[in-house]
Amino acid sequence: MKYAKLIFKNILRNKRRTLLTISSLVVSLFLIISLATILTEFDRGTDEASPLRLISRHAVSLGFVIPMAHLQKIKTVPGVKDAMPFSWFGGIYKDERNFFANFAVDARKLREVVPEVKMSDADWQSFINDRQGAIVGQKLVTLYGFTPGQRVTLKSPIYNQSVEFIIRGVYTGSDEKTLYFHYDYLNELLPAWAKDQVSTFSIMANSAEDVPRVGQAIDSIFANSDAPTKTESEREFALSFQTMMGGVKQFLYGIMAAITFSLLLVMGNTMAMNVRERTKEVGTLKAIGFQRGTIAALFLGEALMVACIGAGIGIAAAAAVFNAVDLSIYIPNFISFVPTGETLVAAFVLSLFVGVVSVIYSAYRVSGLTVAEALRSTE
Amino acid sequence: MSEPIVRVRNVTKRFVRDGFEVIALDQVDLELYEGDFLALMGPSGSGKSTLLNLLAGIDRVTEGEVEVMGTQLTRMSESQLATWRNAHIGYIFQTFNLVPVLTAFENVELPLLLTKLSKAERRRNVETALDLVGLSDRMHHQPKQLSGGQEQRVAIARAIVTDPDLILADEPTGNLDARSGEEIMQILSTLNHELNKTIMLVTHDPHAASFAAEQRHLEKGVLTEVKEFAARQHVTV
Ligand SMILES: Nc1ncnc2c1ncn2[C@@H]1O[C@H](COP(=O)(O)OP(=O)(O)OP(=O)(O)O)[C@@H](O)[C@H]1O
Ligand SMILES: [Mg+2]
Repeated sequence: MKYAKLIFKNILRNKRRTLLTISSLVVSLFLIISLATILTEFDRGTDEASPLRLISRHAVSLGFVIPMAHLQKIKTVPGVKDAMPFSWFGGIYKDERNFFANFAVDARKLREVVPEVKMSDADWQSFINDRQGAIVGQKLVTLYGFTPGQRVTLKSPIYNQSVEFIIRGVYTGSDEKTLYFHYDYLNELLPAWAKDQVSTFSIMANSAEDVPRVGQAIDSIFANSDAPTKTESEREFALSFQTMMGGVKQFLYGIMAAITFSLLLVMGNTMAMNVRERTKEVGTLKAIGFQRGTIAALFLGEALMVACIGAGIGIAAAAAVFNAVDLSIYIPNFISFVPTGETLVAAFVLSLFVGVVSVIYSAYRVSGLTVAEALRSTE
Repeated sequence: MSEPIVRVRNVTKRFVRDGFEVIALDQVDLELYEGDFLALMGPSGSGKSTLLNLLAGIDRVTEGEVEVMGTQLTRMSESQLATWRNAHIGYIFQTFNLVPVLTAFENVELPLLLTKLSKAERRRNVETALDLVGLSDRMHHQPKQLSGGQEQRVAIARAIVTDPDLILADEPTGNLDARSGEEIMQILSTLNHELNKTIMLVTHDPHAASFAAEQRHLEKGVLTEVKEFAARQHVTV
């Protein structure tokens, strides 16, 4: 296109101003991509929840425990393939800052009920064979350097109890930031008041169609017991967490909107200055025979070129940084912190939008001046 | 006698500013023929630029008719006028009005970007135009690397590169020292003399005006005397 050179030279007209505009684009896009990636992670729980699993907990809240004895009855419900305790221990490794999830489970069933957890047969075997054994996700190894055979002590403020485990395997898949250990082993160590109880059961249904019916059947069994249950699909369970998170999501969207708005102001101001300073030149171009549309298109092209450069750098930087350092290691419940393709494309479209909106009014106004008016401009 | 290139009939131009009406041109009649070189003189505010702008299709009449190359400018839309200007008018400004970020070559090429010419054809025309104003060796300089006289020569090259029928110059020497002004007038004179270009020049400077074949005066919007020169005494080429 024969005007590309003219547009490019116009961008370089005021190098410092262009550089500042591009910088604010880069920084804003980096931030927006980061926030969008957090939002993606918030939604991941529901997106990746297993369609076959249910979670059963106390009907009142997760803060209440249910008796281990429920398990036998749950297993007899038609449509239930298998079930096991999946009990929150809340153990802390050395320091409260080292937060990671740890659950008491049935080591022999974990592989069946949570197939996302992947480990070699040998590791599964040594985990199952050692009552004191525990397995950890790959990211915990990255964070704390856990190695098989290492003794790890977790102290739970819930039970006011320290328990020592021996690492027997490192798994991949799922969040890779959880430590699993034997329920039986914990149960032995706990004081009488805390024995034979769990926070939740994890239940595997035979088929996805069975899931709603299984949930209802289980809850009706315990409806009139001391510990009524609430059993829902893992997806519903994740959704109820999201409702709790709703405010945070709204807040993040608000910040993203605010960043976009201030970017619009910055770029709009720059483009308005660029256009205003060139009013007389617009008169010259018109005197030469340039059409209104061509002149407006030149300014639009200028804003789009700046937006593309800023977007290109911002998106490339975000993609490079988040691929190089996986922030999910440091954030509880985050499985990954890599912006999705959709996020990057959306960021690009957003910057094009900002580019167009920033210049549209100035370009419309200045290109609509009569030749005489534009030439008389003293800007 | 052949048809005139420019025919201005009974043209009045009024401006309204702050509620006051200013009559910039008052029932002006004017004809220019191919090869004419007219210098338009008159005091500041007498309406010289206004008349030039009407001929260029840059401004519109209040009353009367302007016909250039057989086209009624009064009846054309802004967009049609722009296309028409590109093909038929070469306009030279007192303040040169070059695009500062473009080289001399690129400035001269601007009007050709609007045509269907190929890149090679554009290059050839630009080089010819710059050669005519004696700036072949400054082709890739930016305006800020040129003297005022050289800048105006680039502006002249830009005005003639489309081979327009009518060249309009509004005080082209007004911002230049005497020597540079002389050079500019020599070039315009050559364009008129050698290439038979029709030129209308607005100037305050009697010396510059003396390069023209004919002088007319505007006083408060009224076109007065006709002063013909017997010979073009300054042509030295
Ligand atoms: N856009 C405008 N709005 C209002 N008045 C105008 C406008 N353009 C010109 N005028 C007025 O019209 C009259 C003629 O102006 P014009 O620019 O044609 O004069 P000029 O002969 O070119 O003067 P100068 O030698 O100073 O360039 C002046 O009184 C001027 O103030
Ligand atoms: Mg004037």
